[in-house]
Amino acid sequence: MKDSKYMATGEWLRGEGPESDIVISSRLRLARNVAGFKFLYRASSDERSRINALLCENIRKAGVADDMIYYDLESVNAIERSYLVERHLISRELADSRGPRSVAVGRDESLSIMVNEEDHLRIQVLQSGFRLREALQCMNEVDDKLSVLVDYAFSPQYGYLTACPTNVGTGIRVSVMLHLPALEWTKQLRKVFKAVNKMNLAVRGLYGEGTQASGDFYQVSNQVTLGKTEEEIISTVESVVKQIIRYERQVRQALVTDSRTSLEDRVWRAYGMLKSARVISSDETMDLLSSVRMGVNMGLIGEVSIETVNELFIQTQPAHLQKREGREIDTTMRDATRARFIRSRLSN
Amino acid sequence: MLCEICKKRKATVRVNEIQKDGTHKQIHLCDECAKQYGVSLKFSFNELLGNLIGSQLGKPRKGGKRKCPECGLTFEEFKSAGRLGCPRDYEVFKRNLDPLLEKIQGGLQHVGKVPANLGEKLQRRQEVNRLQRELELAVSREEYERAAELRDTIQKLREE
Repeated sequence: MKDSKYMATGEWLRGEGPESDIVISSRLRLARNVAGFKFLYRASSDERSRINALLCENIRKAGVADDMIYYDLESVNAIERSYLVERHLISRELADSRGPRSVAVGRDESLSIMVNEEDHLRIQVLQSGFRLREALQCMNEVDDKLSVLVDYAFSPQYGYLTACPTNVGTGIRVSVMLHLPALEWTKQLRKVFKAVNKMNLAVRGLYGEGTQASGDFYQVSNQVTLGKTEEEIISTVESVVKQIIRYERQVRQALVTDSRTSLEDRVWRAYGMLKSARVISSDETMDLLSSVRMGVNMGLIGEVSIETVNELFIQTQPAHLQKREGREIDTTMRDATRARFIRSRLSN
Repeated sequence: MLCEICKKRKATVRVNEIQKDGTHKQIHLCDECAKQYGVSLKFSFNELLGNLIGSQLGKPRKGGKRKCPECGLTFEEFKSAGRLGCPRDYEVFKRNLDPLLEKIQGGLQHVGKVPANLGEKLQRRQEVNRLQRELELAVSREEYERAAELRDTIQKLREE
């Protein structure tokens, strides 16, 4: 793996783009399957091999991006696979499964094409800030190029056929990752999420399906994939996210007006802990960084840049730490290594 | 609170059981008895999804034993795994799947994008479907200029 290039943060964590104080990233994912093959759940090992080879070859042929890097996940070790999960380039499911499977990564990590995940093909576009339209354009481009070379399993009635009926139709999953500390602190998230669910959207944790929210990060995504156009699906998510952004801003403003001192105290304490801790878990790091991130974005703390905060979010994850150290480290040692790394990044 | 089965260990699991008549019954169990009772504390996402799908289906319909000639999947297997075996399953299990799709998706007709290499006629038909949806959307948002554009495009496609 090309370490020097990939030790930096991917495009999506650059903290740029519209509304980037609240919207971390915009992510789109398409599920596609190749006609004439079984879905992975029933495919033989030989079929999986053939699908893997066929798709990797055609991704290369399609020339979707110049700088694609291909990982054969069957031969990549567990730390490297977790590292790709932490960077949101592959799903935990793909990392932990077995058999022939791959991922092709390109365009500053904003594009990743997973082969043999739950479906034969999963195209993901991940960009920083609130930029769903741009992401859609990029994803359609890739999908169109591939669909000329590969026969997708498609039905005029049900659209793109997927292994799970929750993805059938457009096969599109739109997720916006939000940083909502103020709503969380004032215990108003439940209310917001109830409204989100009413709109047929789902709220998930940082690493998607079945994961817990940490560091006040939440993903809002669509659930319906059939019977609506891609445009409609994106519009729904977009309008709901706009409302959530508005609420988060309102609460942040109210916090500054009504309880500036305790807000500042929270931000600065978090910074102090990060700067001095000798042992720190991944969860605690996320929580503290979340407070600091909000403090930076609200202009309450100038000691640290948003780039450094964003970088710490990703570099303090277990696989990133171990890759940096170049070896496997057990949890206790890891917490000390993490604390040392954070101190060194915050001292200069 | 003590476990309601062994009455010795501390209850750590609360089971909400839905009775046949639709009423709920709550039972408090310890870890061990919960396991024997058939409550698994750790379940995979697929299992959960399978169960949810099962619960959405309500009473079993006829055709639960039918096998897909292509991949050999039965509908019962789909219900427990939450995954289909091959593209053909959508047709083979249509009678059982359509009600489920209607529940989880709210619609049964794809109106989105179509593959670039699809037959031209079919592609045009799908495109008309898609634009029709967008037209409705534009009207509901009072974007009349956009609606007029869409109407013209649909007209043109139909004449081709």
